Amino acid sequence: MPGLAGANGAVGGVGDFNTDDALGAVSTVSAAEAVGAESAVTPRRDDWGADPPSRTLIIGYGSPIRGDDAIGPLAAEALAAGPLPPGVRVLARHVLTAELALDLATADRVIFIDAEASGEPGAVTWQALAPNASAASSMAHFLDPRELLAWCQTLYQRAPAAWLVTAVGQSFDYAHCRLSPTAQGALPTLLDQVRALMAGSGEGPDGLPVIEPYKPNSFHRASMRLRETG
Amino acid sequence: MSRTISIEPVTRIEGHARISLQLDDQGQVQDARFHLTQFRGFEKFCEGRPYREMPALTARTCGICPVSHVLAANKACDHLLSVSIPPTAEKLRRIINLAQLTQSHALSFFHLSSPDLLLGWDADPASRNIFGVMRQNPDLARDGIRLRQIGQTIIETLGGKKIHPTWVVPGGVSEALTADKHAVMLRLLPEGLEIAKRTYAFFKTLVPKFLDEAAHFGSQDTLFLSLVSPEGNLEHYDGVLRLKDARGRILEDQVPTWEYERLVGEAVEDFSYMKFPYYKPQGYPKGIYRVGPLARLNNANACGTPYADVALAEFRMLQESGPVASSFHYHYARLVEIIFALEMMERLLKDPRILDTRVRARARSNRDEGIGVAEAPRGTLMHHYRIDENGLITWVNLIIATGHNNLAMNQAIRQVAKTYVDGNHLQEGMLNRVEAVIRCFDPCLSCASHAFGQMPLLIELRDAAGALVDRLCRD
Repeated sequence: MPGLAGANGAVGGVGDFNTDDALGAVSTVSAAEAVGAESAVTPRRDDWGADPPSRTLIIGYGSPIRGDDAIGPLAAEALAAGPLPPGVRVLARHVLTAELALDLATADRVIFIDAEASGEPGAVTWQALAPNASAASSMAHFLDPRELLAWCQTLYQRAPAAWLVTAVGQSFDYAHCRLSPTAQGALPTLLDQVRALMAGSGEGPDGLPVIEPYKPNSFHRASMRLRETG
Repeated sequence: MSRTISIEPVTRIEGHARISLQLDDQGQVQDARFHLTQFRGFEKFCEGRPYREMPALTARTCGICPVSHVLAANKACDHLLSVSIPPTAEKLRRIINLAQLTQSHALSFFHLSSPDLLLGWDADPASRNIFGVMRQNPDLARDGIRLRQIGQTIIETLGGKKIHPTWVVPGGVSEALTADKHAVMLRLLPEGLEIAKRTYAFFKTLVPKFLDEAAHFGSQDTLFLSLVSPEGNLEHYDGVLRLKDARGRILEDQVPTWEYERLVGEAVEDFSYMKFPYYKPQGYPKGIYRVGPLARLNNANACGTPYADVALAEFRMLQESGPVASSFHYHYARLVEIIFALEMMERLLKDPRILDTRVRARARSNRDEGIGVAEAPRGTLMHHYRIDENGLITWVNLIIATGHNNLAMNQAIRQVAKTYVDGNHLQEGMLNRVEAVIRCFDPCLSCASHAFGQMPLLIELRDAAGALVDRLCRD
């Protein structure tokens, strides 16, 4: 969640949660395929299955016990329930961590899904992301998506085309995987936006504005407001 | 005019803290303190909750080492149930603990400390970060990522999720290991071990460059506390408590974990929200001790796996005799433990009964007090609960690994500050060394602090009356 990223995962606290959490990593490939067991430090291109036309990675992230911050992983879970086109992998995470750079390195496109803390609650926006090393965090256990892309670019000499799709949350109080009515209402729009990006060519989603060209070390926001509530 | 230098927050550690350096009239360091600045109060939050919730509750006190809290909490619950868990469940718990240790140590070495070790303490802070490491030694950075991925994948394969697994339950684990998961994990380990061995070999070449730091980074005498196996070997999940002094004499041995209160007292100071545990028979603050990788290796007779035992022998040669004193060698000890963890996970996975389906003992609470102790990556983690007749928590005491090291961290920053910091000619590299000695301990403050967002690095100079003289801020 931009602006509250430090709260993700590390926030802890006593939430209203079940002891058997539903959320975890969801993936459209088997554990064995996802692991890339034979690879050394070279990312494997066959993690997406048999020669798909393109490789799209979707990562929904956020804390499941911080109310609307759970919209990222919940969206990932909904997408993973399918159906999904070939060559699409979906991951749900509390936070973005360093090892995800290996997953990014084999993708053609990546779509991050997160909650947004500022703005009109329920508004869904998307923006192109570029690698940005200066987005580095002084903390170690979570990364900004632009920083993660920069890790990928620096270490593996490639970074996938990337987008961040967000929904503005209304409440970030303790609540386990329970969205506010506003965020719940925004979820279908958010999923539609992700699917539109998923169906796109990698240069811009079909029927949506073309994203600005990549500018090194810039965080350019080509956002489009799709829905407003309240 | 005496002044105080404040370093806040300390960077490249887990959590938020401040260091203050008190200067005398000549600008020399008089005292140094490590402050945990935010209060969380988890022990109080837990009161009134069913004891079976404790693993899930306490795991959420920390997004960094939740597996460690899950294990210590479940061991405390096992104690409340008065059960001995099935042998296969114990082995599976050991594997997830070692996977957590692998990924945690990898993060500490590759991502938090390598910028100092590779680029130097005095390097430009703008480039003294992980991207600087990637540019200078991309293979090392890639190895770090892969090793972390291997550790995390094993946690996820066993626990079903990476950050807060709920697979470990009171009485054992909730599901037996399947053959396909077993195969996945076994395939990962040889590659992990190769990475660990070549990183260890590389680091050995760096160690001679840091003789000065090794001599001054927390090298003063302390005791060492850790679990050891009943045979006295390296232990991370169970076993008994051992305490050695700085000369290597064993002061306490074969102490059952439920007798921890006989060894450990807890003091408080008004400048920090972190407790100050101490060795009770020597009193406060004399009874200063360290926990974590350095203490574990100093206390263990042997590791019990081939490559780790070779590395342990080399670790002991860092010093002519006695336990290795310098906190700088926490880095070395972490690499030895990664090797051990990968070897031991393979051994456990090759156990002929590892796929056994008896993995959980079922019972209701059979006593009103439970104690669970395990070795977290950063040191000994203690959970102690009392419950009423309805199984509701009435009292909790948590002693976190980083808390055990609190006195030692304060002693270490005093030593480093007095050695390197000149208040009359303040340079960033001096302050970085003060931060770096804290990074040796790899403190995780999440369990004891609570912060939203991030803070800049702030250095303030104040005069004796507390007035602000100068201020530097690093975003």
